[in-house]
Order: sequence, then structure tokens, then C-alpha cells
Amino acid sequence: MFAFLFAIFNSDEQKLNQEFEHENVPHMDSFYNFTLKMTGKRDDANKLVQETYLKAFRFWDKFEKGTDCKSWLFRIIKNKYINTYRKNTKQPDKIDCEEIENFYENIKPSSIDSAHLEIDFYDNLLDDELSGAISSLPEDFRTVVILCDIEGYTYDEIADFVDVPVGTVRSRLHRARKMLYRKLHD
Amino acid sequence: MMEMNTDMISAYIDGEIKDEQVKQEILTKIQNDKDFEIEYRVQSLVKNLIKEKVVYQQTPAKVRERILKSIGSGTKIQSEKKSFFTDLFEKPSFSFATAFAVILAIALIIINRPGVVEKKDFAIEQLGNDNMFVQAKNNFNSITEGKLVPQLTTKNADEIKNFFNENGVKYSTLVPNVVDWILLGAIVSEDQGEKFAHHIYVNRDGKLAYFFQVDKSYLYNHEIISLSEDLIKYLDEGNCYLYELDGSVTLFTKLDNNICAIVSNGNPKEIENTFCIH
Repeated sequence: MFAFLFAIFNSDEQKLNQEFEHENVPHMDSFYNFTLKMTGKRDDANKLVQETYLKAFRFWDKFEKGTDCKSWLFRIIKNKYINTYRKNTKQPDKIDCEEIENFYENIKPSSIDSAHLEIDFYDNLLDDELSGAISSLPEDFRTVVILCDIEGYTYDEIADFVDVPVGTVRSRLHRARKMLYRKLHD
Repeated sequence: MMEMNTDMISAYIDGEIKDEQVKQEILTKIQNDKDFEIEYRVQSLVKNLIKEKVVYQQTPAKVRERILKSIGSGTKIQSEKKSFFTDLFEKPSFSFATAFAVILAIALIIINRPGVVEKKDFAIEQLGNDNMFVQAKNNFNSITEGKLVPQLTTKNADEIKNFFNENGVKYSTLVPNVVDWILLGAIVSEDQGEKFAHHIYVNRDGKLAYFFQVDKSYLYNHEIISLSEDLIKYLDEGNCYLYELDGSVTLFTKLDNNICAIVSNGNPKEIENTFCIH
């Protein structure tokens, strides 16, 4: 009798594990890239991804079937990032809105050298330099750039992930790209 | 035409505008308004640069493996390699006696092999851009040509060690103070997300000695940086290896757990006497 019950329990558990793997593991690279670009540190990214997946696995039975699993995982990773990584940095990454506004306003389209708008001009630009520029963006702006331009998520998905309206995603992305342009010329 | 914010350009570039009429309005605005045109070009440029230049990193095999193990997955990891012995015993055609004979033969070879690695021309074994020997030579050339400059300029060994720590070098580093040589500065390089420590000395004649150190474990897994096994073994036995070519001398030595390459345009004998320290 016990053996029978154990077999049923075991097969249920196995099914749950398989479901978890099938739903979540395909997103691992995407989350790894995201955390790597957010933290800028391979060790932190390794740790965050690992802890996120273990936490998700522990609470897999709580996941509401039929809802967006990627979004659910993203929320876990975002909370982990906020709770562990940000706590460890000396100063929280606060955004000075006025500063951003000034930064934004400083890039008047008329002040842009048209030669700098050709992609060939950036032939010697390396991944490290560009990734460094992305890492130096304020957190909210960095997040949308990574999610849109590196991970390829739609505005709706990003809005869902970061819990802001789509209009905010669009505006942050627009400003973030301008800031990046500016940083590449500083 | 409606009043339009420039951030609509981002939405247009990202394929987020579904309404054909709005799309057309944005396009017209870009064609007719210089400011909008520039905005469009800046946004497109940055998006394309990120797409082209940012390298998409895969989850390291060890992390993936740990996660899959934790969730009790049966999925095999590509990088997971079975040892020779595991493989051997798993083959049904191999009897225990055959396996025993193979192990005995290997043990006899090990027992009878010479205990030390003879000094030879290790330099010819060092090939490829990930080779520490090749990298050390190239870096030294870049330094003498002025293409690679110290990120930190200081004479203080502790400052250099702190600089290595603060800039993500994960292994323990050594910055020895050496007689007749003054510290000039340090560089932290990055390869595949791993940081490496380099520092530079100068002597009173203006000769440079560039010092590149790597924890031995990095050289064993060959993932980012390599060195021939013979040379590692030779250094493990407490030897230094000196190689001279084209007016520069390269010295390999092992300090604590680090394999160190010193490349200099100084006198080879002086370099050997100074840096071959244990």
C-alpha cells in the first residue's frame, strides 16, 4: 500500500519537475544575459540566476497555470536583484529626474554631427565599451534598454515585467538611447 | 496631423505602431522635420549598434548544470564529460578483468615515468590567441608601442593590489617590490567576463618589465586562457622558464598559486635574477 502511494506521489512530483523544466529552462539564457548586463558581474549573474530558478522551483506549485511564466520568473529575478544585489551596493541606484531631464535636453538634435550618425563610424567600438555604457545608465533606463534591444521583448511585455505603463517604457527607452548616444561621444 | 512626441519614433523603430495611419504620420514627420529626422537616426543607430556589437552571453554550463541538478532534471549538459573510467566500466563488453588489466598497465606507466619534466623549448608549444605566453608578448608589445597604457599609475604595491580587487580580479594577486625596479602602474583586462591582473615595473635605465599573473586553475580549464601542460608542470616543479627573442625576454615562474609571465626589454640575466623568485 505504502509502495503504491509512494509511486503515485513520486510520479506526480516527476511530472511537476518536468513541467517546470519545460516551461522555465528555455528562458535561462535570456535571464542570464539580463542579470549580467544589470550587475556587470559574472559571479553576481550566476548567483542571481541560480537562486531565481531554485526559488521558482520551490514555488512552482503556486504558479498559476496558463499565465505568463516568463513574466513570473522575471518578477522573481527582479525582486532577487533588488533584495540582494542592490542591498550590497554602497549606494542605491537612485534616479535624479532633473539630471536626466538636463541630460536629455542637452542632446539637441541640431547639435549632432551627422558623421556620428553613420554606423561605419563605430567600426572600432567594442562590446565592452558599449556594455559599459549600458551599465552606466540609471537602473530604470538600463532595464528597458536591455529588455528591448538585447532581449527583444515587446513594450507590452516590458511594461508587464517592470510594472509601468507602456507609455513609460516608450519614453524611458527613447531617453535611454539618447543617453547612450551621448555617452559614446563623451 | 496630431501633436507628436519624439518618443513615438522609438515605438516606430521598434515595430510597436500597429495603426497604419499613425505609422504614415510618423514617417511624414521624419521626412519633413529635420529634428525628427535626426531623432530617428539617433534612435536607429543606437538600436543597431546594440544589436551588432553587444555579445549575447549564454548561461555558463556549470550554472545550467547546477540548476538542472537541483530540479532533478534528466537533461544532459553538453559540456558534461564522463571520465575515461566511468565510460570504461559502463561498456558491457568490458569485463572487470579487462578493466583491471588496463588500470594496472596505466599504474605501471605512471610508476616508471621520469619524475621531472625536462627543460625544453616550451615556447614552440604556445599557440593561439588564448595562450598566456602569446598574450603576454602581445601585451608587452602594445605597452612599448603606447597602445596599452596603465589604468592606474602608482609606485605603491598595496594600491595596485587594491586596484585589482576593486576591479573584479577574483584570484589572489602578488605585487612584489623588487630591488632596482620601481612600480609604474597596473591594468585590469577582461576576457569573457573574467578579469586579469597586469602590472608594470620600470628600472633606472627606462627598461620595462611587464608582469601578467593568472591563477593556475584558469589555465587548467582552458576556457579563457591556456598554457601548455608541459610548461605548467615544469613551473610546478619550482623552475623558471626563460625565453629570449627579438630583443625581449619572457620569463615564466610560479608564485604561490599564480602562474606569472614577465616580459621585458631589460637584460635577460638581470630579469632572471630579479624575477625568478620563490
